[in-house]
Amino acid sequence: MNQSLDMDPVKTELPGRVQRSGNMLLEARGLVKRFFGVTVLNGISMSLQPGEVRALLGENGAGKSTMINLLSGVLQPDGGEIFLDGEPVRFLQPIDANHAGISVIRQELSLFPDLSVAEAVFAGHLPTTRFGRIDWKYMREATQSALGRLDLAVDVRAPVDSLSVAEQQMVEIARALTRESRVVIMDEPTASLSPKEVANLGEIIAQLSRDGVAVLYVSHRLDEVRAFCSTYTVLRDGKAISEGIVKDTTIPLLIRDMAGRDVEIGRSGAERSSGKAVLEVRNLASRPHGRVVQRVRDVSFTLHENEILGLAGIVGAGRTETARMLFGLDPIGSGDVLLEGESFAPSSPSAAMKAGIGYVSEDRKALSILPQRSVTENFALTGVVPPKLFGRNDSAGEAKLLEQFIETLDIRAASIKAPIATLSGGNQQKVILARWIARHPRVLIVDEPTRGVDVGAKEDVHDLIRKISAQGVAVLLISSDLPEILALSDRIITLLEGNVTSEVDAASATAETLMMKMTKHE
Amino acid sequence: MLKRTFLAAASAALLLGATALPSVAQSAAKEIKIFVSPLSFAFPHFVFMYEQMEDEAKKLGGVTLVVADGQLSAPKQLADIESAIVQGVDGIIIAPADADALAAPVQQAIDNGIPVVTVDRPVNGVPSVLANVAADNFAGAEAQGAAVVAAFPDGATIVNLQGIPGDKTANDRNGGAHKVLDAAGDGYVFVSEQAADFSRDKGLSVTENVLTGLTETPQVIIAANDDMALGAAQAVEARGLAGKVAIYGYDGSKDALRGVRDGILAGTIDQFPGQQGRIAVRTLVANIRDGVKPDSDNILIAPIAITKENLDSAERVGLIGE
Amino acid sequence: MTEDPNVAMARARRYALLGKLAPLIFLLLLVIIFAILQPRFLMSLNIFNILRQVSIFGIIAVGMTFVILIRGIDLSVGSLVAVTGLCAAVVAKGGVEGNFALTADGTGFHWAFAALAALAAGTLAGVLQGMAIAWLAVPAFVVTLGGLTIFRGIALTISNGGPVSGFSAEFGWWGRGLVGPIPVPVIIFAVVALVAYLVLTQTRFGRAVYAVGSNPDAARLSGINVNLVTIATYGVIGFCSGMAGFVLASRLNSAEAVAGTGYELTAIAAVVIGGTSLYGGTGGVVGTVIGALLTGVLMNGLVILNVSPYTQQVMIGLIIIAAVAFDAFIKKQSR
Repeated sequence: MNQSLDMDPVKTELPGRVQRSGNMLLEARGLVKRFFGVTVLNGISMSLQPGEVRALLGENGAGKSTMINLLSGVLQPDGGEIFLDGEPVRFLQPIDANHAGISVIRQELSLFPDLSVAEAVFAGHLPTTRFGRIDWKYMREATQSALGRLDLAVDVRAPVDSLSVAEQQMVEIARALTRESRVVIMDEPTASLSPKEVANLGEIIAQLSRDGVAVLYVSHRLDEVRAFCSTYTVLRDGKAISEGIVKDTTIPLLIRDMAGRDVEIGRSGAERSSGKAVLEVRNLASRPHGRVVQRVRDVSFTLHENEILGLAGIVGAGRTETARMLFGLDPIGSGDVLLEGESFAPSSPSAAMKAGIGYVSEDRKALSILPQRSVTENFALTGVVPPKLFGRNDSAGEAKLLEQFIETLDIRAASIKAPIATLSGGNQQKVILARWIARHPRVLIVDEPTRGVDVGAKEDVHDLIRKISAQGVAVLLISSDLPEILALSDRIITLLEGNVTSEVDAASATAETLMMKMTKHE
Repeated sequence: MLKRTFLAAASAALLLGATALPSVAQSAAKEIKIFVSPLSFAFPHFVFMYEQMEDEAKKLGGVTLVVADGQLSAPKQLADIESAIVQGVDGIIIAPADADALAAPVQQAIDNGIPVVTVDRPVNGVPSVLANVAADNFAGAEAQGAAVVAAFPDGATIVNLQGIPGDKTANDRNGGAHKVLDAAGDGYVFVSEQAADFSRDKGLSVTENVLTGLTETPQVIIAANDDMALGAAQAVEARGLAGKVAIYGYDGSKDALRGVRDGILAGTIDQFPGQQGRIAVRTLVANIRDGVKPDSDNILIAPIAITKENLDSAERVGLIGE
Repeated sequence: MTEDPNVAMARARRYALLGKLAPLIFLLLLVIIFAILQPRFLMSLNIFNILRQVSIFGIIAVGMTFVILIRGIDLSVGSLVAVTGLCAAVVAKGGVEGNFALTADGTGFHWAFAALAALAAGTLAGVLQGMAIAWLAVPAFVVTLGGLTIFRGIALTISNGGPVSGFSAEFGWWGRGLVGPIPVPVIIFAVVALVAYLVLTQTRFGRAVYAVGSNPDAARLSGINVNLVTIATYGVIGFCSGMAGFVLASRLNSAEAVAGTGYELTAIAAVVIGGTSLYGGTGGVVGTVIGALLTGVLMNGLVILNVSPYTQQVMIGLIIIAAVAFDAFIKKQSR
């Protein structure tokens, strides 16, 4: 099917828009939403047939999340209508959409950490027996079978927070599966999944589609979109830019629609000579405590000035945990760390910072930003400008330095006094990077620097990382995104279950060879 | 029904002294332990009462007092009584925070063979309480009202500072003063009635606010305790009205007696808490050692108004120094 | 279907400004209503009355602002006011009659030592509570609830239940004196509020307070010693409580163990009415000062109108909720 099959050309508002009469499960017509007086969705129309898997694409800030929130009753539209089975509906709260058969698998996990897996899966729709008692047996069995479909072997009685992030994500998916949903909206479901789990998810989506369930698939990962989705809608600046059949388009075309320009994510080709060794890590291991298992077992590497060292591994391989030890956040279990030849064991982040280490954490929202505080405060938080007498802030100095970064990094903010939460994800990340670059660190650890960052800003962030490396900073790059690792790194080490499995020159590495070293196989 | 007998403070002391004294000689050998649960040590009234109880216990000899601060809380006192029963004390003196809530634990103590004397106020519905030794707040407030009438026979404009709204003591003291002053004729006008929660701080700020709101300076301020009266006195002084407003407190505390002596307060009411405490200890010890029952199970001490003229009648006058 | 974004943006900005001014607008409304009902309300004497009555719990509310900004709470301030007031009183009097004496001849010390004793005791108590909260990871609610009874008990022990009263004129100046027409406690409150405002908006420490309240994990990852900031913050409210305790003792010419009862809730109410979020990270001293004034105006106005004490409690509660609801409504409009 493509636009030539439009049966009602009068309704066609956009090139590529697929219009069908009747048989429509969920349809949005001309949705409008405004925040702070700013229009974030400007008349979006979109439809889902039973069994259709539609990709919803767009940069951060394009309006994808708002669209999801309107369809799931979290927000109400300021204009336009939503139809279910051809009837106009109003979802005043999420439960209304839920009852209508619409489930959302969210990017931020909405599970309850203290509940058991089975309880979490059934939260909000606990099954009861004839006598009104909770039907535990059914709950456990149904959970077990849903998790079985996802190839996830966990104890359904275990508390949710004993699971890894990826496992929690799978539980979230299982939750939607048990609901007999008619429409499943998946918001970046693969952000923390391993390649094998992603493949499983693909099968689940295919199964859902065969069962007549409509899926709205939101992701930045265009290879997944190609593999899983039949149709697509691209949003940009709150408008639907294009719509069509996935098979009939190409990834570069989609990227162009999303970014409004041609963006190429490719190898840097930089062959930087490795200079002086700045950071040496020898046989580093973490200390298990409580329920936390030993994630890092034996990690050794050397990081040179001018170099970007990629640290690749699937979730749970011990990448972030290694970074946390180097930054003084978690105690070092055993092993040695040498910083410019001197033994180094940071007791706190401030000690690590004094020694010249910077750390951009993987979870921007939870660990990096002060959401209600201004851009300036977020920027100056690491003490980029020394205080004046009596610990007074040098506001003028801070503003001057920040303006420089805003210019060079192309940070888009209404004002430097605006709360950082009003910026898009990419711009937030640039401010966070600026916060560290301004300190002139010797070593900068960047953990998932482009997670949740839109395609255009992603390239800016990559440029920035290359630039600071060229200035002599030793960069340790942690990323789940193999193209990103390959594009930026000079050398790459792979981690598997807390051990280094290989160290390769980036020029000779491919995604496939890295993946082989990152996963367990006989 | 309880038999009510009003005794003048002095005669009550004599009477009970007479019955209790011989028994000391007879059975001094028996060591006894008495549990005391005062309403709250945050009130000087009860601190002084307990000090006098201790002194009386020392005089009698062989009597140990165990005390737990009631903290104005019925549940706290309930728990304290239960643990006292378990510890096996010989008698209990309690100033109950709640007359109904504490009836059950008091009954329980009596059922366990432990005699109970209530001070300051009774518990409801427990006829087997050995005695209630109290000064009547209502009667004391009547004396306060009468003192106002005596000082201003032709009527007066009155500001009334009440205690914590809903508190029994606050209600009784408010009621007593009203009864006398309302009956005294149309000349006695309450120009403002506000709660100042028995606190000196609020007594001061509420009086400041009241004085601002009134077009004419009132002639009299009556307060349901001395702390509020002393706070009011400061507000009056700050407005340059010292000596122009007659302020009456209630409780006969040291600071208030000094105030009466120095002319800052016109008067206060003495309920003789020390006398209450001593009588309670003597009554209880006499019962434990010799099985003596008091003549009346409701020993009420008549409170009196203390003014500059009869300052020497105040129980704590000896403590105020020169 | 869609309106001009510039118009919408301008409206959002207008509401954002209104949101900041909401507590002030509510305060002015209340003043106007009281002034109409009872013109004596606006007498300069009464204005100074209100300011003087506000200043003592206002000083505490300023400290409470710091604590609430870091998502904390301090329930112990009322009891701490009693303890610190008694510390000042005991030093000034040289002991407690019938309990203990600091000096052999029973003479007291200079008022400056009394003030220092109150400030030091308050700060120490605050720092100790902060340590328990930061290092032992006991919730602030629990630690300071414990503090509430512990400090009250210490106050009773020091005072033996009775008041300690009668200080020198110099001591009394801090609570009852005037500079020109302005009561001294009002000046102290203004200075404390001004210093707190500058600390919160202009210094590294102030920024750390907001950072810890906004996102403690991000603050830690940015090199801020979250424990140290927590301890210092509780030190600040301890210091403020000590200041309030000293001024209250001076104003009443007496210190006693029951002083300051209920101050914690008045202070928390002032902070919240002033727009500081109980979830931390947003708000500030300007709002708190307005919130304190609003509370003071309310208590004063209802007494001046001779409203029954029973009804007053209902009205105070309703007006507090209305003030915060008004603030929330305005903020919602700006969204």
